[in-house]
Amino acid sequence: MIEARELTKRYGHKAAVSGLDFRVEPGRVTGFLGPNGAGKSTTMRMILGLDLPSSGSVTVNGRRYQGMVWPLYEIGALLDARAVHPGRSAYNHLHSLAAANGIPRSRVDVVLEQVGLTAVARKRVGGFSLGMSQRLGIAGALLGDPGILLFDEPVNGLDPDGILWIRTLMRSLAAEGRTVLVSSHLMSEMALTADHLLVIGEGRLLADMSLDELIARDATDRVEVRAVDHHRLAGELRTLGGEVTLEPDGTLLVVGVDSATIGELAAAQGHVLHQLRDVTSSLEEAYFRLTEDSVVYRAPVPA
Amino acid sequence: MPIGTTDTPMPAAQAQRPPVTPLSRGRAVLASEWIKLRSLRSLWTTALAGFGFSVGLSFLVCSSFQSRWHTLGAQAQAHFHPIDISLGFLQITSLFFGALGALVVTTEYGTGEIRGTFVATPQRPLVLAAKALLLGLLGFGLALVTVSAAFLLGQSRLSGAVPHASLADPRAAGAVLGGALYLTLTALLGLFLGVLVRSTAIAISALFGVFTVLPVLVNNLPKGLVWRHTVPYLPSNLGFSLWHSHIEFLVRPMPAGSTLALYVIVTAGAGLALLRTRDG
Repeated sequence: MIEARELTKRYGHKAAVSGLDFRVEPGRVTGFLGPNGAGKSTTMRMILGLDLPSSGSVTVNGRRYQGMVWPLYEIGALLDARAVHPGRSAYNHLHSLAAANGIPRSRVDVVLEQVGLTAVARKRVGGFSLGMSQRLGIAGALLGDPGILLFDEPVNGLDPDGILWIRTLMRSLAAEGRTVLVSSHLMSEMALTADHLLVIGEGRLLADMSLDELIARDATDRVEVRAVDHHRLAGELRTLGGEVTLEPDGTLLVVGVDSATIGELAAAQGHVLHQLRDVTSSLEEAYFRLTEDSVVYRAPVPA
Repeated sequence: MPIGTTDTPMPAAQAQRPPVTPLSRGRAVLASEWIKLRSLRSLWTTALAGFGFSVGLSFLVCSSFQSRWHTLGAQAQAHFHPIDISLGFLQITSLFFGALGALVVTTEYGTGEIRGTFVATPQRPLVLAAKALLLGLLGFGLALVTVSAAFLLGQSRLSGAVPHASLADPRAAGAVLGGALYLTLTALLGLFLGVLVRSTAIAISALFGVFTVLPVLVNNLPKGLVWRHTVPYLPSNLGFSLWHSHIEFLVRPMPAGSTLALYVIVTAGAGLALLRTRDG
């Protein structure tokens, strides 16, 4: 488990991360979501003891990272897949990481097999594609068979096959009971992978809830109606208590009256309808509303 | 891979976790750093280039003295010192060793690999200590091979009326050992400088400035009070004292060696202080 308390990182006067409070629980994929520059990578570096917090703290299994003697047995991380010396072979790269924590050499072969790089194990990393580098980074994270895994933007620049592979891997790691924290700025990707979401914007925590809750919280479910006499229908819907917006193309967006009621009303009043459609808000919309607020008000939305 | 399905997984690798003792921790870091060192190609190409340069220069210099001996005046012949002449390459070879030391750490900063290193070993001073120990041993080995080979090849060119030396001569053995020590200390200086600046280009430029340009600028200035208390203590001049026969104004070998070692220790201290507080 990862736990942050009042975690803050300032560079000069600018706060990259301010007052983050969260827990990343085992057994599920936690998505760490936010626009570029929101403070995701800074937070991950603080979790791993690379950057020191300006104030507050973050712990891994209850301990500060800097105090861990053999950290790779507890936590594995993929930060930047390209951060490997290009002249070194994949095998030597993993072997040096394993040796640093006294992890048996046999694990190197196991993780290479697991990510499908066995055939190129002795090849120089400089010749690897981005997808292969990501796999190598993930192999490094899996070396110590850790209970906690951190992935920073793992699907960046990957082809659909690679994305599917990583998504499946993260889900299976969480299903095994591990703690999985994955950062992304791609909402659509998180919708498919994450069970739980931490949304940050401008270094502040905007939401800490399950995917369904996040969508439901902002669920302003609407009905889209296209009618021949939309002005008359709009008036009738307003008398029913609906909130009606008229789009330039004549489409009515209705909030507060469900589609069944609208259909019955239309039949009773003799309307000709060309379209009647429920619109549920997506994670993307919920996310935009959240981050939009953070930009306008510069204050956290209560989680 | 063995996989638990409970909420708190207890994978098999966890059972094999090594004991938490300073010794086992240190050994693991040494093993890891050694794998990185031996698979760092630029390190070996730099060492090879330094070897080729040293042996080649010693060969050329000694050959030319041998072939032109009869053209030298009586005074030049009297001042000819075969050990000093065949080891003159050390003034440049120190750069190769400084660069070699810097590369051990700047390549990690350059690629970002240093973050992976510190994630695996959050005990950063231990990482630097392991690098320094391995570089010290490896550097001394490489330096001893380079200096001895260059010395022997150079001397093999000198014969007949030209004075020549063998390693059986304690002065020659001392000069070769002093030269190897100089190169080793320079490599360590390069390593700690690399920690300070984190960039191969800056580290090598700094080494070039201090070891090559600066002596040329100041060595031949009038030898006043200020000169005598500063210039002999330039790293390159301290190194010179370690392998060259004594010349006026320069420091004797023993204090020269300890002063150079002190420079290394001070740079190491600065590097260590930065390493502990700096964000990775």
